[in-house]
Amino acid sequence: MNLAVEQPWLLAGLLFCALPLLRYGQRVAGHPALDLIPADGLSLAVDAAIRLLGALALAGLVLGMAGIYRTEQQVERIGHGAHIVLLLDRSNSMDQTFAGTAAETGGAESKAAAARRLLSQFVERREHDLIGVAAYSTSPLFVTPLTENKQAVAAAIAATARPALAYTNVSKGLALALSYFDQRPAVGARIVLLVSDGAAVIDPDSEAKLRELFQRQQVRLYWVFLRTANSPGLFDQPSDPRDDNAQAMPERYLHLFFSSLHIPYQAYQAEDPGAMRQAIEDINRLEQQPLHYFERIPKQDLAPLCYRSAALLLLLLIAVKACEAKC
Amino acid sequence: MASRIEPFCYRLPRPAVEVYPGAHPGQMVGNGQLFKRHEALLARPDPRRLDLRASLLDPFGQYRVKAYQEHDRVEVMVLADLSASLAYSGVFDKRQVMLDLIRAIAESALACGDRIGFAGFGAGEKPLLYAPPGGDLSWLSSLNGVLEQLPQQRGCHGLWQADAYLPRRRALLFLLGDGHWPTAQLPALLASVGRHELVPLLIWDAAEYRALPDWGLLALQDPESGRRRRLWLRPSLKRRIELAYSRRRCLLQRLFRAAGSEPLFIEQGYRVEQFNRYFLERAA
Repeated sequence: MNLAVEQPWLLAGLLFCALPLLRYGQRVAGHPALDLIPADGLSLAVDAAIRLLGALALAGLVLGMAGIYRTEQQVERIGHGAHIVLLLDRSNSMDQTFAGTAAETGGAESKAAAARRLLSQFVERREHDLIGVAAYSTSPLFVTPLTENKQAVAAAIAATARPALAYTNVSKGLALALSYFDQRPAVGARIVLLVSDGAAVIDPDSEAKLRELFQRQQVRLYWVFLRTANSPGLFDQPSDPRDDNAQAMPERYLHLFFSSLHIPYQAYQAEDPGAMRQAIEDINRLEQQPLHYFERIPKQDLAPLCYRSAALLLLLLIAVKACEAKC
Repeated sequence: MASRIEPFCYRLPRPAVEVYPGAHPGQMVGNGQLFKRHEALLARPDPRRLDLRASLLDPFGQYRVKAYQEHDRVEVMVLADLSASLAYSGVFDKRQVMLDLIRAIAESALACGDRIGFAGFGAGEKPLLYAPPGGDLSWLSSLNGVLEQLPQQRGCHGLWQADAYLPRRRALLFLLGDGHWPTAQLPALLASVGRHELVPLLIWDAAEYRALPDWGLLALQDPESGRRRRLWLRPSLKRRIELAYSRRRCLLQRLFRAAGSEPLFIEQGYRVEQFNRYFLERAA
């Protein structure tokens, strides 16, 4: 409970809280022999309660005016889960269906929509995970950092409903995704979930850098490859040895690159939404390690609470005022 | 208001001791209407009262003279508690009741030809208003001013040493107050004024205890100590307050009866019939 106020000088008004303790706030009738009136516990309790109500109501008003708030806090939590970075492909081809046609014409859902739907369900089920979202096209797009806030993640995933961008630059996307783990405690599993429908050539400079990053960050890599019908798969051997190069078959070479990283790596080749669901459920089942993390609770304005409670207390005091005996 | 004041008739259970003639049967033997005894002419040389028949029958052949009981004057003294608690105004204004009582006593005393004095005590040791027994009532006009100042008097400490202001000889003494005194000091005062005929007049008011509302929140302040209390009135608390008051009444009655006088509780202002009945019962 770290409390702070916007205008500390207004806290001087808390001195007014002493007023109900000193004064009666009701007509005081004279009585010639107060000592004759027997001691009464209930009357004492009522008196104390009225004074307390008055003091609290004034305190509520003053604190409300001073603008009391609870500062941002970190809460230590332990859950079962992982740090997951969803790396989404935002290239044009994601807006097509698994059959390779434009989504509007066929009536079938696009690859992006299927990914969105399944990832949203996935995020909902992962209660204690810290999930970050990154996307890439020609350039990497930072969407949300690693966060516990499921609403933010769901909104980030939903935002991919916007029309897709240009081409595929997977190496910069991966570098961005890996940078999410910088300055993060190495607890729980670290997962990069790459959802894409194609690959691109990684130039040798980027390749060396990525190798080094993967080694340092100790991540697990899952690649959900949304394969368009009749496009080359991850595990296809080229029929012609002359086609066996990164330019002709980027997906195969990216898979080979990932396999050579010496990190836990799993590739899923999804040719329809059902296969993709299978891949995501696998990940969901596998990644259930204990996770120790800090949750951030944002700054919370307590002034409305103060005003509400002051109003309630004042209503009570008005009720008490109505109970005054006419003598 | 003055027309309302009707003098009451007081009589004393014991003969008066003053030497001056008045309206009350006295101890003195002298000129009067009531035959008391025969005396020798030498002892009472008043030939007008010579009783020839008694002189003839006297075996020593002496002249006998009739002696009569003389009616004497009585000194009336009013001792008043002038503390702030008497400034209370409930069903009746206690100050007005006190003024009525003092005027009634004064008029009754003057009607009998007695002399009246007054001593009212506030917070100080000295009386706020002191008038030795006498025939003039000029102090009555200054009493109003004293009663105006009543709320400033925190207690009646002088009252406990009131003996110094009382006549040396036996007098009729009215003790005027509300009875809300510390009872520890009362027996000493009663003992010090024991030679006088004490008539305690205690002014109570139904609004203090009986006429309180059944329910509600009531804030009360003691005018003397300034202490305040908030009460959550309810029938059970009201019953306890009434019980405390009736206990107090019993305690005061016991204390005053121990000193040989019955207290008179004035709850409905000055009523002449209450006083007349009180004095008839007292003399009986």
